[in-house]
Amino acid sequence: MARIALWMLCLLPPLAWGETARVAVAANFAATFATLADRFAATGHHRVVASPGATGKLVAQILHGAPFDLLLAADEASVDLLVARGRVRPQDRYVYAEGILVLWSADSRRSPSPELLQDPALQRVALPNPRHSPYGRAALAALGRLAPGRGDLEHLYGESVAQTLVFVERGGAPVGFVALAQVGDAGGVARGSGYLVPAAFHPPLRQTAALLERGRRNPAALAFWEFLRGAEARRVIEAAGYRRGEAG
Amino acid sequence: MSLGPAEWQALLLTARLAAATTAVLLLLAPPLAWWLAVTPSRWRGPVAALVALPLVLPPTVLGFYLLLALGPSGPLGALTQALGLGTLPFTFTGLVVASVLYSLPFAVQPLEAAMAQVGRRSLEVAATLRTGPLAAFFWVVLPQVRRALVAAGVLSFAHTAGEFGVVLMIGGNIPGETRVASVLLYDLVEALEYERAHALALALVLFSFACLTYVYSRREAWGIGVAALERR
Repeated sequence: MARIALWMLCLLPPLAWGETARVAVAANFAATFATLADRFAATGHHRVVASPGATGKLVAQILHGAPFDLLLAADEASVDLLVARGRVRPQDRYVYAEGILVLWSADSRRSPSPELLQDPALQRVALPNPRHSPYGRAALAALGRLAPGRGDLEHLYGESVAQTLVFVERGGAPVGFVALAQVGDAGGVARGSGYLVPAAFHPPLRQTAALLERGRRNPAALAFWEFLRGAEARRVIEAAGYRRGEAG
Repeated sequence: MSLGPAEWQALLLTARLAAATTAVLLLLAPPLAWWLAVTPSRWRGPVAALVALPLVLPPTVLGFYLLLALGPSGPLGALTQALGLGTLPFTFTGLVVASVLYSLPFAVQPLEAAMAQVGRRSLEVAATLRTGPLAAFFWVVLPQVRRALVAAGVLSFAHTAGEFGVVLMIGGNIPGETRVASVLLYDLVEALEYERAHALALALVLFSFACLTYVYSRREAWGIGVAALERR
């Protein structure tokens, strides 16, 4: 009964002592964001809530009036677009993390490698849809470098890196391109097995944060904006499996 | 297997959405169903088809057009902004508007079937007793289709609770505002949190099963209309 009462408390609208910021978060960063949100809540009385999704979809929603305060995109180009459309001021952006692309298998003995991609027995590879996922575009570029001449390789598109991970995990494809942070951390791949794609093989995944119009008036959004480029957040982000972002 | 705060929040939001949608539909559907049941107009076919469209259209189509129409640059979006209401996509109100359209056939069709059985004749009989058409609708027609009204309400509620595609298009996955149970389920699966996903999915299955059991255990609730359809 007490537990139910506690849950009911969670359903109440945010209480008066703090503000809430709504953050549109690229799917690959959702788990890391959850850690950051907890740390952030512990530093003060504001909180942040995440709406995870594919970056392209989140940008489309923002252009159609979605009430987000911040965007944590998986790339730079999406933020360029929002700046060009006048939704973000040119100064209200920075790179919060640089993503690491992994060719991943759910099977810990498979150990994906460039050779595996050349193996004709491999018929299918999963990757996020390049149309709206920066990781998908990076994966496509990496495939061009790692497996040139494999035009016969079937591509299974996930809606985002998150769905791509589910596809591979459930056997939809033997291997797939995902973000290191989803399957491991700074120490390497922790679940299944994976090959860290060299950064030179794809355009950099410079994951860019943008302060949206609404966020400029929201104290919680402004506080998180500073927190995200502070030393503590940087440690969390790097430990989670990203290269460091810009100096804050 | 148990439900955490995020799941309860999403389930409660789903229930609120379904309740609001059902309330609106129970106001809109009876007059519309009655018109469809008795009109000799040649517009009957196209209007009935329009009402039934959500049954066959992918929800993403409806969601896409609503996003265009209700967004800041859409015609309805311009209207709501001029009225000082802001824009509807990515808000709870926007979800109610979308759900009303999406669940409309589930409210209208059982009512129409039942009302076709009541027929114009009861209005004529009422008229001989000097009852106006409006009064006759409220005091003669509606009481005769009250079971169909209950069925329409339950089906609208259950169908709205099961909505996914439309919400994904115009909802934006905002906790406490537009993150309904089906969208949270999608999030949980993508985060590979199968245990939590199972609990939530099971809750939805049990709820939908209970609703449908209620409707199908009271076949007469559909009005004699369904029986007539089954005889065909």
